[in-house]
Amino acid sequence: MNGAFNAPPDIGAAVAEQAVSWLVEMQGGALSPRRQQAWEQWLHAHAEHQRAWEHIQRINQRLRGLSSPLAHAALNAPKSSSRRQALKLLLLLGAGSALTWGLREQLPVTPLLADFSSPVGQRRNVQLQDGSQVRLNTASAVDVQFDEQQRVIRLLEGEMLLTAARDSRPLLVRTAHGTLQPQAARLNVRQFGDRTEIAVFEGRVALMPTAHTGSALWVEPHQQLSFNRLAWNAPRPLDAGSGAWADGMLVAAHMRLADFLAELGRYRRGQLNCDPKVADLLISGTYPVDDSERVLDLLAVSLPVRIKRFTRYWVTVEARV
Amino acid sequence: MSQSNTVEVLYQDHHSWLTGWLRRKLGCPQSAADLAQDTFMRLLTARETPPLNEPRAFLTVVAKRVLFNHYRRQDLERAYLQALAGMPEQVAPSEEERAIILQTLMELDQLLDGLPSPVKRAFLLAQIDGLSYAEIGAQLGISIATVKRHLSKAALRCYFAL
Repeated sequence: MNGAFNAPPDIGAAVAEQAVSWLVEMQGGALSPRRQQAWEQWLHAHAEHQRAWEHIQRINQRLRGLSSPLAHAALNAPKSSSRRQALKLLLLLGAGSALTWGLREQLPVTPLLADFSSPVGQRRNVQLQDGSQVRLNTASAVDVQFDEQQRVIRLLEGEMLLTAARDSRPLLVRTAHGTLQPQAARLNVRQFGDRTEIAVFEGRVALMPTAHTGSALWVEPHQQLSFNRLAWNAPRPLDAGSGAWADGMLVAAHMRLADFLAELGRYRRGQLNCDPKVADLLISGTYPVDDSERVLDLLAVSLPVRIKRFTRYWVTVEARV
Repeated sequence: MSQSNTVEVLYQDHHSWLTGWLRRKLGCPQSAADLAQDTFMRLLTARETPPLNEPRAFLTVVAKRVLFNHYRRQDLERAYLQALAGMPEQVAPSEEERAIILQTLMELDQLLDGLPSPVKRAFLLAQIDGLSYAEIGAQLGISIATVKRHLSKAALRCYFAL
């Protein structure tokens, strides 16, 4: 990196912390005369303090440059409307920066480096050498490693529907939370931050959480369950909507609106927010994930909500007034 | 062997292979050539001499990093242009200003990478949008004490890479 952000190398951690602490205090409001004096004493106590402070100021200047359009507008607009204009722009820019970062956080990091991956809002079929089939849901990624001894599929992110082919070598599916060994099975595997959920449609699957000691659990056909690194939850019958995504459908049965929007949001770029006031409304039905805009419009018809579209990437579902 | 000699050997032996590898990843010959160039530039400015025993594995690791930055920049750019599209025309920044803004965004993005989302947002709302702690707290649904803690954390990272 060659920008102005690089920290000067000769500032120690302790001084950096002091400087930041002063910055945070100052931005919180005007200093009292006593604190002002204390700050000046700190600043002039050592050349390193001054260098640290100047460094912060330099970067802040650059950060403020990010809203330069705002400054232009405020300066050029007619006097009477300049403030209103500035406020309007401030809102836009605020959304702009939040939007940028919101998007960034959703960016899948691993898939770029994965063997097979699918972008947000798309599904992808992958045919493996042994005849097994992997269908990747939105924003998902797998690594595949086959050798003479074994076949390993690693789910790095997201969700896949796996149809495992028979082969003399064992097939292992690894997630962040454990290892699955499907026996000629068709199963859905979805990885969350804190757990993995599996649903078995055909065949049987042996499950071994990473940090579990003891024997594996056999998950039978038409069962689903979730597990973390230590243990599994009791198996339960398949949900009606399990694996419906493979046909591009999102099936909801008395689902909270907030949960529904979180699911729908997986298939879109940007932010899909839910106003807490309407989060607990219940929703049922089958919805096409490839046309989430239309699904949102449908919500506005069937529920007491309205869809506020700030930009295409920034949508909030809120109570209808 | 000196740094530039090693890179030169790598370049002669593997440049076209690497370009092909990137083209398969990107599906675009133009960008692939650019990114191959970036990869070798990165090697030239690196502190350590690249190893020669597994040259392609090594090149792939560096190229993946370059590729990753490339995608990240594209996403930032898309998000930025999207936000810009909503603004009145007369305030649209020039090409040059845009490039500077994007570069700043990229750097900031890399610096803040890995911080929890509320920490980043609190920092951006304070330093770019100039909101007060009370406003930030209200927007993020957190206390003022938490806003300050977030800011300290992000500031240490952003200003001092700590």
